[in-house]
Amino acid sequence: MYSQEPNESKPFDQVETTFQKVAVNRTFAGLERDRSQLEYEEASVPQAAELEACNRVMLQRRDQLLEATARATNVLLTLENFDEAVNTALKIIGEETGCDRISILENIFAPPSQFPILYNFIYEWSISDFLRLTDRLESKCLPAEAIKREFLEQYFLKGEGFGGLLEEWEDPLRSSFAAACVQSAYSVPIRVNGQWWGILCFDYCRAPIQVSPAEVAVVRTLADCIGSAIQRNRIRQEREQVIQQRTADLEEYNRILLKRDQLLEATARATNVLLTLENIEEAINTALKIIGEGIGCDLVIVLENIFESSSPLPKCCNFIYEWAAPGFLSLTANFGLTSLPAEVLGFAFLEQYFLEGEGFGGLLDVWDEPLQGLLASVQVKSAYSVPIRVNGQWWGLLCLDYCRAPIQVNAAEIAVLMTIADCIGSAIQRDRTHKIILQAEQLRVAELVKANTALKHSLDILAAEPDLDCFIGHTLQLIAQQFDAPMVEYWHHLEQGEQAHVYLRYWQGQIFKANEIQQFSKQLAREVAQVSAPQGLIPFLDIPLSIGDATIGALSIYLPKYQTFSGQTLELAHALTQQLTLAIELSRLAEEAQQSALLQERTRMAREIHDTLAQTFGGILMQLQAATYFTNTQAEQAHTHLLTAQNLAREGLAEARRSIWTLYLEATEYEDPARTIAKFIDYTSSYQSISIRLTIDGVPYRLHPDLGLNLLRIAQEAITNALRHANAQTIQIYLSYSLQHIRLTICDDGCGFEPQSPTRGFGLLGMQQRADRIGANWHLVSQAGQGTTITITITNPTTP
Amino acid sequence: MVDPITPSQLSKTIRILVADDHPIVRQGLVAILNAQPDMNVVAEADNGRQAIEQFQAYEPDIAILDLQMPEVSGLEAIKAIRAVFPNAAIIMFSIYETDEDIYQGLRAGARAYLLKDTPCLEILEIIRTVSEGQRYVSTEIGTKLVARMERSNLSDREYEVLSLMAQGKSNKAIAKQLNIAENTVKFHVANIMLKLGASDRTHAVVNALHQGIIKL
Repeated sequence: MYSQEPNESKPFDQVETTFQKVAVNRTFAGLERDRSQLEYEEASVPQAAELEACNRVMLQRRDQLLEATARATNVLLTLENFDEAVNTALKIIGEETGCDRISILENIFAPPSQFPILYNFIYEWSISDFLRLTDRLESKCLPAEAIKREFLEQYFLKGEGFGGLLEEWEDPLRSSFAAACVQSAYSVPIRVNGQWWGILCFDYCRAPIQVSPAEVAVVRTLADCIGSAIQRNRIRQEREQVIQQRTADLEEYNRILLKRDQLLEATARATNVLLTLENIEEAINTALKIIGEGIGCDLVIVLENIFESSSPLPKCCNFIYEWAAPGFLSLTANFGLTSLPAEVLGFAFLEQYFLEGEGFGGLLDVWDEPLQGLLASVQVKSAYSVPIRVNGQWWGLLCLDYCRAPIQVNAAEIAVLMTIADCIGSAIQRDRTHKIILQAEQLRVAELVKANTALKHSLDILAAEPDLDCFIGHTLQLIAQQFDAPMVEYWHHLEQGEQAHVYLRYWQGQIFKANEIQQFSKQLAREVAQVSAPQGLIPFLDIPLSIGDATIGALSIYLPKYQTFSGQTLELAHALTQQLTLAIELSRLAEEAQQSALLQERTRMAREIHDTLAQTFGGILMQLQAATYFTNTQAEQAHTHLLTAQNLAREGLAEARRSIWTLYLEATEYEDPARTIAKFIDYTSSYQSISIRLTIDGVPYRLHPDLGLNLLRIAQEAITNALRHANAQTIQIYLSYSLQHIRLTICDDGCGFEPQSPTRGFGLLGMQQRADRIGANWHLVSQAGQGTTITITITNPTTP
Repeated sequence: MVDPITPSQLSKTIRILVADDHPIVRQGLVAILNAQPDMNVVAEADNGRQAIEQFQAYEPDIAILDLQMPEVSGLEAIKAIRAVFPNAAIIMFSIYETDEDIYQGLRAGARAYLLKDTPCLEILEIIRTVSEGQRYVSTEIGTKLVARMERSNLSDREYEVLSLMAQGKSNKAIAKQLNIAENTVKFHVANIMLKLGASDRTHAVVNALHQGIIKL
């Protein structure tokens, strides 16, 4: 029905066409029947003329009737106003047929009985007001008792009507008819959609006119038409009703949709506010206002559960956010309290509807006491609550109250309420997460500051405290403070073997060294036991001190059993441990470097002594031995040996002097022969009058101290030789640096000598040996009277 | 005073090679030796390499080799000569009386160990003793030798590490040079210290130098 359009006319036309067809068929059927009767009468009645006359009259009547019927049918089919149509049709029929009164009775049924309980006169036409049936009978209806059941069943329910002169009717109808001036009456049933609907009555009051069967048939046709018209009218009325209903429904739906739009808009706005506003207080308060105004309620409240112990049900619910429509007091102001104990709300109620359910609400009477009384006391007329869940946990309640009228909230509004509750839950969750992150960040910053301070402090100690043991002690103390640990130990890992032993122990503010731990072992053990017993001191953490894959030691932190600490503390401990490792390793390296430097220096000195003093003394001794040996036999030979010994002693002394001058140099100065040679020239020039010039070519760079020292010693030897033996006027020294080579050239303009001469000095040999030792090339050019040039070349001087 | 000439000395002149890098020491010694009627210095050498060459060229009865010589050390020269001439009679000649030198030299086949400050008569005595196919070890040298023999030997690797330690090289540098892990160097150093009875690496090197295990 809903699918049909109200203006569609086609079904009407079909119904009308059907009725017309029925009417016409009926009419022609009546005519056919009439015609066969007439043919029969013509055959049976001899007086043809009389019959013909009679026929003519009857045919005329029938034609009149048919015409009237057709007109009436037309009226019934065309006039919009049904009552007018029926009345007009009755009038047409009455006037054309010459009857005095036509009435229509409608059956009033009381199901399940198929017989009417009452017959209402609903339409009536009469030739004069005097004959109006309802006036005559002084009633607008006919009681059921007025017509016998058998009669009804025979003629109307199943039959096609009854009619005749007054005397043919039976009581009580006959007496009723008599009171209504009836002389003859004909009635046919009106059927609507196959069901007996009522009766069409023709009354003749002025004369007892008998109606022919043909005329009755026409009347039946009229009854059918009326039935059809009634049905059509009914259908139309039904349809109109449907359309009206549908329009009303649509209006209702539109209203609902409009409201839902408003709700959705309110929801969207509230959600948006909850999601975007940074300040959660402001966000929730704004959202409550939007919802209150959007739904049109008077109070919107958020209650937060206050939990106790591990129960999933709260011990009370606190009012934390409230919105009240203008002119209404907030609930807290009204109640004078800010918290509702769970007992008031009822544990079972809370569990059923909020912990596990999706809320509760309705008019005041659905609420149980004492809540009902409580709500009534603040003029709440209907109230709805849904749970707010945060991260899946029941967190609190969102409540709507209506105070002005007991408004029932529909499913859509409840859905909005739940959406908002979800959003509030999310907003709270977000706010909580935000706060936790913020707190964590603050905590982390604080920890970092703490860690930095501790590390800086530790570095300060390292800088100020050259003693490694003290530094380790400070570090132990720092770590103990960070962990609030009563005992921290530093275990030293021995290089050889796998043993480790406690090197230092921090115990309650004091540092004990390994020997002290041993010395006071019993006392310490007793103290530790005393402190440990109540707290349950356990070796909590070992942090190894590692360098590469080697472990040089470990820190052991002892803590009471249930003591906690943060991850940052642990990181700090690791950082301090690394610092400690670094300090220990640096000090070990420094010690090693110091030892290495010492060894280098010793080695150099030992070599110097060997090269100068020991060798010289060896030579002198041997010469003196020879001199002694030959004293008595070969005085001359002995004398030569003594002279050699003297010379050697002199050279040795000069060598020792230079050597001692060299040893006064700082170890690092050896690395820079350009400087040391220049220095030596200065020193020599201070007591020599000849010119010694140093020329440096290229950019000097640092050499291994051994190389530098030997270059210096060679230069010294060459200069000394030139001064002592060559009688030179000038000495030129060239020192040239390149990446691949370093070359030292000493040139003098002295007397020179034959290189092959066996008398060449012991000094030359020393020089040569030095050059050999440092892997340098030693080259001598000399000729008697031509001066001497010595060249020493070191290849790849920077390669160790 | 002239030493009386004995028939045995007449019968045989001891042919001698003297190798010493210090020409004045050598010259003094050669002068004394050549003054002996039963001795003749047939060859001289400045360094170990020359010493080996001269020995091969002259096959002397006695070779007096200085231990501290450039290019090839006295000890290496002894080994090289003994490898070719298993019966070569060699006298070690040194300024120093380090037990390691004594031990190593005698082990390599030297017949005597002579300090350069030995009185020359004693030197001549020893040369004659050795030329008769005997060994000569003085009481002092013998004591040193015993001390050395009581000590456990350093392994070759430990010797290498010790030499580098003496050059003042750090563990790291030693590890790099020997191409071994630093921890291994530490392990060797610990063992060296143990064997040399030293408390730290300086002490170890000083001890090693005293004992002549390493040379400068």
